[in-house]
Amino acid sequence: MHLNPMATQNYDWTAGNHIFERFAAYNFSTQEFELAGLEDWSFEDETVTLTLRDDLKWDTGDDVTAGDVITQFRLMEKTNATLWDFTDSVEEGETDKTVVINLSRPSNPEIIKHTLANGDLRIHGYQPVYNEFLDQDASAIQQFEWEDDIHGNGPFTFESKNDQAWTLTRNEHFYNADAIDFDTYELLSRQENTALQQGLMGGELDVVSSLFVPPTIVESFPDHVEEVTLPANWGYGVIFNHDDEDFGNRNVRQAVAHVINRQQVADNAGPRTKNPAPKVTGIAPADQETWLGDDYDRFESYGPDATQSEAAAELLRDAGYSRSDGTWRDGDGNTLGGSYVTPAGWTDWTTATNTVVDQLNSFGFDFEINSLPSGDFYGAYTNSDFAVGAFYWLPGGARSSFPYFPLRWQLNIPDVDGGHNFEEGEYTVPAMDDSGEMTLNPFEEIRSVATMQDDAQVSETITRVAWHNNQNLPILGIVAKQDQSWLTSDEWDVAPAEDSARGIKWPSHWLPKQGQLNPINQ
Amino acid sequence: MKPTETNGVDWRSESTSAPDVTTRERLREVYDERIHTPLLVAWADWRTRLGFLILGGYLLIALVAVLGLWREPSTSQAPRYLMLFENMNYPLGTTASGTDLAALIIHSTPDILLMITAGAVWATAVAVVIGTVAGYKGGRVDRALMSFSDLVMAIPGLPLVIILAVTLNPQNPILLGIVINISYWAGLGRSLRSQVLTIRENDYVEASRTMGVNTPQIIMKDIIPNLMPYVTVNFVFAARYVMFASVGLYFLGVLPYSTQNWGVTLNLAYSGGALFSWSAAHWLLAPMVAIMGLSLGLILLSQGLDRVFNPRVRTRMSGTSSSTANDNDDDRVTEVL
Repeated sequence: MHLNPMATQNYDWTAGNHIFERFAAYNFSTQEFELAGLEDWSFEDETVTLTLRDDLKWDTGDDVTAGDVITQFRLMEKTNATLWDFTDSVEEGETDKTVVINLSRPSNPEIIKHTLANGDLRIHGYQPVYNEFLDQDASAIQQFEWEDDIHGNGPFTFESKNDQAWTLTRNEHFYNADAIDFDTYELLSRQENTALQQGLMGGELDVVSSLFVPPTIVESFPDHVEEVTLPANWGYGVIFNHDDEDFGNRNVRQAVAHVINRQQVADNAGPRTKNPAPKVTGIAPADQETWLGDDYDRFESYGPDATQSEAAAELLRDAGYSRSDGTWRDGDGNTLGGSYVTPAGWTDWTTATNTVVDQLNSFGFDFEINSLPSGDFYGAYTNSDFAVGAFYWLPGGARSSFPYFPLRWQLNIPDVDGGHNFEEGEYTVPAMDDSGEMTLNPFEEIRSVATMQDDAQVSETITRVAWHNNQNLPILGIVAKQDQSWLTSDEWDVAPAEDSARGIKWPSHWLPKQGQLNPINQ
Repeated sequence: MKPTETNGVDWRSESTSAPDVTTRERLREVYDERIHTPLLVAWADWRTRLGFLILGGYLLIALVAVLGLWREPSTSQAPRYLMLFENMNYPLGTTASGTDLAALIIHSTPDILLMITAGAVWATAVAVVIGTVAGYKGGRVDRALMSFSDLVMAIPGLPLVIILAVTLNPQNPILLGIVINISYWAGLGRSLRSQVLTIRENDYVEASRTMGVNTPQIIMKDIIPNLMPYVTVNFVFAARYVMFASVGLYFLGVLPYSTQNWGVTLNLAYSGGALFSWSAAHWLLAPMVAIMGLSLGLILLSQGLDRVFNPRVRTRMSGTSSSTANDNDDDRVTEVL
């Protein structure tokens, strides 16, 4: 594990989030942005000006400067970060604490804010380390594992690490260091959910950033273990390989959608924390009605709480499949199915997968579950070595609540490098008003949202792309979940339950640096 | 002594100059010697009886599954978290996703039985072949075979199985049993070899050799029968090992989850909170009881079979009439030992 956020493989985001300060944060309780490493951000037609906190310093005591941020942004251009969808160039402003982002066109401030306040984006571009990558290929920065001489600007600083734990100490140069009443933060490594659950139960762990805990175990936690639920805008979905002969066929994908009873998946896998959206739209469930307005009713639901066998069978027959001996087969007699990829060790996902595969097989598909360890799981998708599997259908975090992000993400799924092979180009789907067909390029249309300023136009484009995703199903959303974050109050003085500061992800990262999580007896 | 008698039967069977023994009589003698008496001896021991009964029970369960007399396990087929005997349609209760636990246990049984049998047959068969050939032939063959088995013994068993399991991703229970016991034969083969080294010096083996009986015949008829006690007991141990190892590997998530198995059920129960909550405890208990029951059956059987092959008990029993054997009670058997 290392601390270069741009090399996503083996980056330790938990440690990184403690060591690097963020630009800003989205508060799920107040639904507002809160600035952190930034003192101010201002949006004009084609420029965004970021002002860094005057007292934001690296743990060496040196100021964090515009140069550090510019280095970081320029490297992010190499890695195709979202920021550069609407950015032309970045430069230093009037002082060495201001950064000016020149936009390609007047842009939507919401997108820029969500981009900058995105959960794991931190100010990490320490120039002495990162400058050398500016004139190298993207692969250089994506393979650089920052393990030695690490310098951050967050509340804690790197002390040591081994296989069992990261040890961080309070960063005395952090602007709010005085509010933190403890010296050492140990991040223990635990492979499985159950180990973390036991850690909370036995008092070994004081906080856990994010951990799924089934209801039976929550009931058996001691009283001082407090649960904080936050919308994850993330959740279990079904990913199709569009190069596959069967699942590259829209009818087959729609049939899968009709067969799956999403409510049942939610009830089996997480009755307290998971819920299906009533419609399949590609937009996070909580935001669908707001964004789609009157068009919401037109969207296909695919039966949120039923297995719609009739509709599915008709779609398959239309596509040339037939059912014999209880199993659907193509013209050559091959069964419709194969291995269904799922991650090993993600316990709630295992249950969801069992449910989905049971439903599909009872209908007449022929799937076998293929559970893979995390690395192989991502590898299978990145290398397109799969037909169908489980994957998250929303990118997660605050930005998922702005449909631009999830809709765009579903088309190219950067987390698996577009391994689902949904080709860029035009697609024809039924028209929204039942008047025949409509042809659109969902990639181009969603990208254009980034530079739109007219709300009505934004809304219309988002509806069109959502309609495309609803009909063409680049990926199928099943359930969305609430994240469960955990704090303990027997030895820690934590912000009370009603405090809105708990609404920022993650409380275990945000609260300590605000002075809202300190030991009781000091 | 029994080995001599055994050899006598076999020796006569090889001979064409024994007109006083008819085929019928010979078969009868073989039946008495090989089947009837051992069964009597075995049945006289309560542990064998119980062991047979338990294994018979598991075979019946497997039959129920194979004949489809019980519903297949499937998510959402029943209310969630039913307790033991809360609803007699689902006597063992249900899991968090509403799967009938009885169905899970029953439909896992055929594969488990196939798997442990395959693993045990593989381990003992390879061990017997290698051990007897090495022990009997001696010389270069012995050195080569023993070097090979030493090499296999030197490979750490569990990591090898994990690597093979991940690479081969075996879903066929027979293949899986073999993979789990892939190197189990090595130690057993070495012990068998040392036994063969003593047996081969016996007069009757020497006699067979002098008469020009070929090596496979000598191994099959003079040597292997004398190894049977050891082989049978180790067969049962190998079977138990397959079961425990497979449950452990499923629990660790090394083996493919797609196969229905008690280990998978245990794993899901564990991650579903069954360890910490009474309302879900049955989810953990059902597969544990199934595993323990089968293991107990195998242990009892191996102890009972040990009695069958123990020469002292065997001689005494085979020398008596069947009625005496039937009258024989447990205490007397124990006394003999």
